[in-house]
Amino acid sequence: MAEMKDVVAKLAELTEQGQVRWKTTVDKSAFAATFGKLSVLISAMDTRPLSDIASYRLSVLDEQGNEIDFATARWGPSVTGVKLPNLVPLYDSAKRTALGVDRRLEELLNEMNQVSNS
Amino acid sequence: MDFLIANWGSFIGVLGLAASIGGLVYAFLARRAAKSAEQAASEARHAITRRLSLVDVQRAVALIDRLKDVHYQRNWDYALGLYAELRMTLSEIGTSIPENFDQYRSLIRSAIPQVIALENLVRRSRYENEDREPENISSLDETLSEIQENLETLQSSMMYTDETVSS
Repeated sequence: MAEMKDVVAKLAELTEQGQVRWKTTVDKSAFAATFGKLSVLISAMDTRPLSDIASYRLSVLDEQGNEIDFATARWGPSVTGVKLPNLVPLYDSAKRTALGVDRRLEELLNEMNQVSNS
Repeated sequence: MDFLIANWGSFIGVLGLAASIGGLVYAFLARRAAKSAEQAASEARHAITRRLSLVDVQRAVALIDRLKDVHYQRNWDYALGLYAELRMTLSEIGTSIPENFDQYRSLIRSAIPQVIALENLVRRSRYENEDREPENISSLDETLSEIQENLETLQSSMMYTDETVSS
């Protein structure tokens, strides 16, 4: 039986291999990817002001956008026993992919190299 | 007459051969007619599917226009209902889109989580932040415009195909 922890693990693996096309959404803290009829939406949820705990949620959506399953994780220095620890790095990887962070950092490094060579 | 009686077997043979050839020609023509009918039925089926999808595409475009108005009017509760309707319509299009427009299928399907993100943002602002308005309303419209642009491209392709097929 497939479980959300398997989905998280597979998504993390495919994202690391650059095989998932994560896209930005109108919500700056949420990123989406589509696989056939189904989609996934990963988001960092609002936390209480001045709290050092962040909450993450991965939703699996059916073809009409209804949430058919989800996984959550809370992360912070005071949080112990995180159920799905790889959800947090998955969020970071999804964000980096959607925003093209690696490509842009490379561009920046190239520009800086040109400045230092001139 | 004597000639007929003497060669009746050959005549029967010739008649049999003619009947066989006639049968073959008849079978060939019947098969060709059946194939043409099948092709016509398939084309009609495709045309109906295309028209139905086109109606859904036009409905989705109109829904997006309506949503932009509703955003402008700040009628967020009504907008939440329209987002759900838009998702359903996009889902219909994603399922019923004809095979020759496959390149649009993934574009339409990837719009659904975008609408969900929009919906979540508005819902959070309304219900978790004491009826506050979502921040940066123009970005909501930008997301809708991107979806609308893809739908309009699909719509023109489908209409162009319809014209080509019917002419």
